[in-house]
Amino acid sequence: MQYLPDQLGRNGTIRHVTPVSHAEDRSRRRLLAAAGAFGLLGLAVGVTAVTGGLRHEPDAPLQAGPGRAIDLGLFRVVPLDARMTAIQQFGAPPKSAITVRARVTNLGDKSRAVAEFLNGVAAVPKPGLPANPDVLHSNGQISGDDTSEIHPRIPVDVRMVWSLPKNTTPRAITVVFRKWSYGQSFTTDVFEWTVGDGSPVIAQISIPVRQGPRP
Amino acid sequence: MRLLARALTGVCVPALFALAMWFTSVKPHLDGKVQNPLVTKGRIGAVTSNHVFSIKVTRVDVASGILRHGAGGDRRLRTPGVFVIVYLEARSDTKVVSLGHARLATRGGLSYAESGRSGTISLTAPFEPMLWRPARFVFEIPRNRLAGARFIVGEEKPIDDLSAETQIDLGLDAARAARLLVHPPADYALKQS
Repeated sequence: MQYLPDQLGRNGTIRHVTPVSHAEDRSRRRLLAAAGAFGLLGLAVGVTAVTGGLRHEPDAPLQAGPGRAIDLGLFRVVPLDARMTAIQQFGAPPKSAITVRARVTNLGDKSRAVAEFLNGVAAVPKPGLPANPDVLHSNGQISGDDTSEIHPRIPVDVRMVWSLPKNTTPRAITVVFRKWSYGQSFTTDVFEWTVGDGSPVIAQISIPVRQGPRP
Repeated sequence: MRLLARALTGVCVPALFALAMWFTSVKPHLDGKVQNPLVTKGRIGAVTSNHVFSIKVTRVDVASGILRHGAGGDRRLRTPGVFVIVYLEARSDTKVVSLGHARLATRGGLSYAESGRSGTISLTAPFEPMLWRPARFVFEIPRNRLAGARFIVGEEKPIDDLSAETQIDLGLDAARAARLLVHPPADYALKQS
């Protein structure tokens, strides 16, 4: 046991002080405990960051049938039905097609064209082969009349059309809806809603096709 | 006391770590609007001029249905909301101008473009310098958005950065909007002016 000079009194007496080694031991233990705790915390933070963080990961795309409301961020969609139709293309004979109806409500703060909404929609005739709807023959309807705009908070029945190869009569069609995201443009300071082929898929809706008149 | 301090430290430190991690994901919504059109404000019934054109909104009508005349006969356009028809006169100040980007701005920050219905095409012929000509715009909005609606119109340019724009207060306060919504006509015929 060692004592510091100021712990020694006159005539070699020892004042009653806490032995230096005990104090050192305690502080060393505290330091080790603190270092261990911070080390564990740092390890936990690192592992959490490497494995993706605490942000909620989106679930797998919803697999459902018609009639269910789907939130796409900018729009809320309720797929209604699908039927076989015929479309007339410029000067060509009528062609078989599928028309999928959906009730769409604009949740944003300004009007959007029906063609804009169609950017986030695709049909999947084969796995890994999405097809965009025919913009020329797709349109919106309000109270039975055609419209080209989806106004905020006014539901519109959007008719999405996909042309079919000859002699094709599918029993069902799978329609994929992608999530719209809100962010700032890379080149300007404008904030805008965007969707693209790389946007996450929110829902895959399988709709039975009602047979209609053939061309 | 020491135990309490340690417990408090044990709670505060992870909380501060979590707060620091959350800050890295925060993106402030900073919209400079430095390229937005240059807006001139006015009121219904008064001439409002900007550096490109002048307009005077003469009348605002509200309807629950619009009568459309067509080759196959007359047809009524219906809406779950209301149609708002804005009549105005406009002229250019220096060169031929077409009006565009017309919209109704409503309370709550919602903006409604022209109706988009096939039978409600707006009348917006190009405007000559110093010659007043009538124009008409048709909008479709929910009934609860009529009060406080403002009409906004600018130049018809694909990119409207720093272009001229005019905002008109239509005088649709809560009382007037309620009166207009009591019995809006269901077979309204669009007028030329």
